[in-house]
Amino acid sequence: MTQSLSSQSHIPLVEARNIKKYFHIRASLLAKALARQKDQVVKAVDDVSLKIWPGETVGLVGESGCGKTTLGRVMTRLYEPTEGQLFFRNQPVVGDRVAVPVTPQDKAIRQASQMLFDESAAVGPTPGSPEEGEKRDFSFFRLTQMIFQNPYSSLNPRKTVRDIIGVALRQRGIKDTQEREVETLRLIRRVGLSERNIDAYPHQFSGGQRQRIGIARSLAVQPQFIVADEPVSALDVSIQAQVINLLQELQDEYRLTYLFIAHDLSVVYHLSDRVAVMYLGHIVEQAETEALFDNPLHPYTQALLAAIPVVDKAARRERIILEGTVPSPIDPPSGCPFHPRCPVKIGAICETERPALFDAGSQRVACWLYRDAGFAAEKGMPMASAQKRPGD
Amino acid sequence: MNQNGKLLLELKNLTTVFPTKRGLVKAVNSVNLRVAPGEILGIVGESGCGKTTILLSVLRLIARPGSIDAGEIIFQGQDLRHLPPQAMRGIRGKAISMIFQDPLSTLNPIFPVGEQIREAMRLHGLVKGRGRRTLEKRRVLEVMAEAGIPAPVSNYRAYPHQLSGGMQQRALIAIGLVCEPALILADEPTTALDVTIQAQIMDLMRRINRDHDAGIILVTHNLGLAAEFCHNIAVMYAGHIVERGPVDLVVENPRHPYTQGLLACLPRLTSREKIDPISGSVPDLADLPSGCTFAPRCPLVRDECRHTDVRLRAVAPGHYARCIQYESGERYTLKKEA
Repeated sequence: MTQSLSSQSHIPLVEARNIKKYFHIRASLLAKALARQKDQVVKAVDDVSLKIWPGETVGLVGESGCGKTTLGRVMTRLYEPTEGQLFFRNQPVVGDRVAVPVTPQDKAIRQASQMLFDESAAVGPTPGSPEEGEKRDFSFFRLTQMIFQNPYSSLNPRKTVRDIIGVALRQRGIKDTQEREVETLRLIRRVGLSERNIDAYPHQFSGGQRQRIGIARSLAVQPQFIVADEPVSALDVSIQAQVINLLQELQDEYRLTYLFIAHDLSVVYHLSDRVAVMYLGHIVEQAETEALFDNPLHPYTQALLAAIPVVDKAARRERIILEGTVPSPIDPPSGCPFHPRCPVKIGAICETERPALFDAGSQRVACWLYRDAGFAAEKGMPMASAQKRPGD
Repeated sequence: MNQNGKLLLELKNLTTVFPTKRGLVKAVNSVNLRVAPGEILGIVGESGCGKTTILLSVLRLIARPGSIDAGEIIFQGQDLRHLPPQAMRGIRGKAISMIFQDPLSTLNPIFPVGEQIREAMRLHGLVKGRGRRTLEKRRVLEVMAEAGIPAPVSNYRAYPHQLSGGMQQRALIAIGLVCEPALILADEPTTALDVTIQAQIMDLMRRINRDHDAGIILVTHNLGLAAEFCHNIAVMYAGHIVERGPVDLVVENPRHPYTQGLLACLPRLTSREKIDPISGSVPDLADLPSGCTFAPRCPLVRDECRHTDVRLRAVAPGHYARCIQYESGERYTLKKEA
């Protein structure tokens, strides 16, 4: 759906370069003195690079604690990265600000989306109508938005829908109350809620409706990039499908770019153009969606795909039951983070050195099996166990 | 699966109600179900459809003011509904055990898990006489090993917070297993877990079912999980069972519009076509529409749906659906075909 768009543009919309995000757990002085505890470091995201092209949806998958939410929050600048740099259209994001050159495409997008665009919203040295090629300073928070997982805790229970969306609209620079009301109603209608809901409080809505309010709020600032962090995992199947469809429609309408974080691989398969698989703070495999699901290369991806229970018998894979659980990111294993659970460990190198992302055909995979890119190309998949059952 | 026709559990017209300010909520509405020894029955449906209430009703754990309003719960030939409280306590955790959804809130945080597993045995007085404690402990270690908890001896003394989510769930399963129950009620046992851990736990449950010939009722909202794990499934909607039958028939040839809709709106790994969701949302249980409860959302709704009371009818051998299209003549033509 977005292939044509991504091939046209040569610069990624958002790029994370060697992002690290560490959290420090400080032991108290008493604990240090008495129990000889030490400060600990949680390496939630450890040296991750990811390019996201305009108009595409990148799925980010992994198990709980693998760092996918942390990466999403770094990419919306809710977290300051410990190391590494975030770029928006090749321009570095400094603090929460980024200077972006104005392209003719921007104007076209704005006109196409028929959204109100208020010049006064651009805080910076160049107010008024910008010339093409001229750089304009933006708040990164106006270019990116986040849709949160839990629609019960991400909306203020004491604010009405009008207030919740109004705050975002004021950020966009709509100062006139009347204008804000018109825009709020338009957004509410667009996400599939009724206009009479404008003065209702979050508790008066069902989970699916609350998630729609969250979506309307994120659209209110006219973002170009949206990080959706498990937006449908808290919802029932029939409601989940409605919200997925809404997200897809909005993407087509406003040419949005999504980073879609989820643990449900079927949802990711459905929505994403490309998928990145995370394990213990690292991206272990990255590929086009079809390629990844048809021919997973990393042993972890293979096990992850095989573990999803599916209704269709034809889509079932032979189970690969992994031993043990995800190790703690406080004290991650040496070498390849997956080696303690890996069913196809090839030797000492797995335990001592962390594999970089190797190119294997169109896929990129961090596993020593693919150090020699030719290996994968010649022999196809090295593991028969993850292939679909013959005869299915 | 045991096919000798003897039933382990039979629910007849079970109705469980909760009085609320807004009116009487029929969380479980005239439900009929059968479980044979060694059978795995899946109950699937969206949140609030009454799946968990069925399990709690079987164990008579419905908290006041809720109550079992009508029906029979026949377990191994006796009606649990009219059993005195003391006899019921003898059944809970022994003949029928339950595995809850969230292990961390189910396990007691201040006792080691090994002791909590032993407690289940101790309460039912399975071992008597001298050396009871040692014998009990030996059995606990055995069960812990069976549930796949590594190093049972050292983990016997571990507190729940020291174990990972998957290990906590295994400890809970060990509590459920220690008395060798005939029936295990599993309420979303893997919902709180990651997929690779879910695969481990379901593998364990399948082994328990095979080795002990224990019947299992698995309550889940995950249709894929039910499809892979269960022999038979029952689909619930707003307190009713709307379809039930052998898993392959229900999943591959769903007959009720709700089941059809539910399967259609699952994102599949076989196609990336736009999904077709069921419109609207689940009705308020305190204010159910008359006639078929699914009528307001049903794509095939007819006028008579809104005032006719429909019942589960056979659509194929062993396969039942609760829809007006099978109410009269059609089911006979279907039966003839079969």
